Amino acid sequence: MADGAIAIIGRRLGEAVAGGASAAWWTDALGRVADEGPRALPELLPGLARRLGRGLLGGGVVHEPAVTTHGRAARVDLDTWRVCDAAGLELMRACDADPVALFQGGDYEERTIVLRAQALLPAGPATARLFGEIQRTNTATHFEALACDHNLPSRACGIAGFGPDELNRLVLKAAFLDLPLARLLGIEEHANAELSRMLQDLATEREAAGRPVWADTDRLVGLAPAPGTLLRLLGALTHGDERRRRAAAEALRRVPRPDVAHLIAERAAHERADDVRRLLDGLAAEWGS
Amino acid sequence: MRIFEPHAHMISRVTDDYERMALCGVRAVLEPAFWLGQNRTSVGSFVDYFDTLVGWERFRARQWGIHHFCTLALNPREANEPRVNRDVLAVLPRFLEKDGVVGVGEVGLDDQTPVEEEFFAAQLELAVRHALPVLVHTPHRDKKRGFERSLAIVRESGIPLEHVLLDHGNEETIRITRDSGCWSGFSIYPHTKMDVDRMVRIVQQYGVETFIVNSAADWGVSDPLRVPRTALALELAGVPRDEISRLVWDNPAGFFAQSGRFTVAEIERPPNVDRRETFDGNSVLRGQDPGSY
Repeated sequence: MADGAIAIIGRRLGEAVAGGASAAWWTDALGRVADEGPRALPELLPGLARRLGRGLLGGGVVHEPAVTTHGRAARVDLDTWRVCDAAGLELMRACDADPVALFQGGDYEERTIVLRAQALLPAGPATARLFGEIQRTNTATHFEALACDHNLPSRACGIAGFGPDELNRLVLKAAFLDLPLARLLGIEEHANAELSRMLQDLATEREAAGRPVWADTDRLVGLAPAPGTLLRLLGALTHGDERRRRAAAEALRRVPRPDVAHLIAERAAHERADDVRRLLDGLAAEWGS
Repeated sequence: MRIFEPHAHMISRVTDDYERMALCGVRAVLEPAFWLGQNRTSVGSFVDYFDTLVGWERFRARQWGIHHFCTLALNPREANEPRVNRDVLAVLPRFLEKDGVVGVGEVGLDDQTPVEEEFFAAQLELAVRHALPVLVHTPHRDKKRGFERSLAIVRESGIPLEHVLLDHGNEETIRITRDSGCWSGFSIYPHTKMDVDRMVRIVQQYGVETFIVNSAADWGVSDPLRVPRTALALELAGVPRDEISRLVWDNPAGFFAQSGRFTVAEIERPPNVDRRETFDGNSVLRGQDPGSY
């Protein structure tokens, strides 16, 4: 069986630290946590980025069967993990630290490290508190560390203090920050009509202000249509940006509406992009038959 | 000329000051933690203040191409404040490990009370434990005796003397500090402590070997350009440029580089800055094009 995320992270951390200028410091740090427990962390976390570096671990998306919530295993993209993040996880796994206190007392880097580690630590009341913290921050790095490049929000939805409403607000904030849907692993299965309404309202607001709309809006609202979704997707078929037209055509596949097959066929005749035209032709044929 | 301003309370200065300092050659600033003009009543205000010095203030300086460092401590004035003194000492160890913290300070004596001495000694111990240099504030009143007492406490602590900067010196205190092994700081003020002309005479008489000059700019009558003004006055008085450069760059940068938290070579380049980035949503810029200075 392939190694889980935690074993891979531990191995790569070991390789990165071995023989380096901070190898002795790191051994001492692990010893301090073993002796003193969580009390040692506030003095150890601030130095991680400075002493061990911010080099990327790499490794792509991997599972961790030992960390589960609601029976679902953790999944993380190690391409976004740095050596200091790996060290933070190791220290937090070695003792029963309070991540909320570490977050609140932490500087920019410490907060990033504490938040990223949550993807591979047991989800509980502290996780819900931290989701609340990142909803209030305007520091995109911190939001990304807890919300992106792993399936923690998707997996944790349903724990006390982090239900579907909180998850919707988290996705809306990701849209507000223009973070790609692909970085919110597993979120698509939580698509719901209320989230679609929120995303559509945000899109309308942005359009009124002449500002760009979140590129994944149509894709996500297509998964759970709300009032206005069909009109929005049909309208997007004439958008000047080819990517927006493609996303709308793909989303329409999930909103079967034979009564508008003739509109789709009409639009297909004018579509310049071959793949989008094929999608529309397919829809028109399927719905019209 | 590249300038390291080794003592400026930037939290009390406006953003325009950073720009003026940058235009005058200031490329690095050291901000010591100090008294805020009135006593704090709980440790929480210290924690927020320390967070500002390692967070927002560094961000603000970087917007103008200036490296920002700080020293953190319980200042001598508030060492006398029982509502905060022990709690501040308890939070210091974790702050002393944070990025941008390159020393312990301002510590020392102000009114020269026994409790000030107790917290001065305790913080020297912290400096030894975290291998950091120390910035020592010296009293405004009864200065000469305060210098002698400070030096005695420093010696008792066992800290390497080259890790100690005795600040706010004058012609009287040079005789005490010069051969002590410690560094001597001079705060150049518009009206009090030390002025530009007196500083020129000190350099002409003693050279610049272990001297450091600063503006100690804060919310009072003070001037964050006093170091550039001193450098200009020294040049006009015929002091060689390389000697002036030692005084305003090599000495302060070398002193705080003893922290091991940065190297002098590193800060010869400006900090990496992307002015489109914000700090907790605040960019300092108000409608200004991030690409223009």
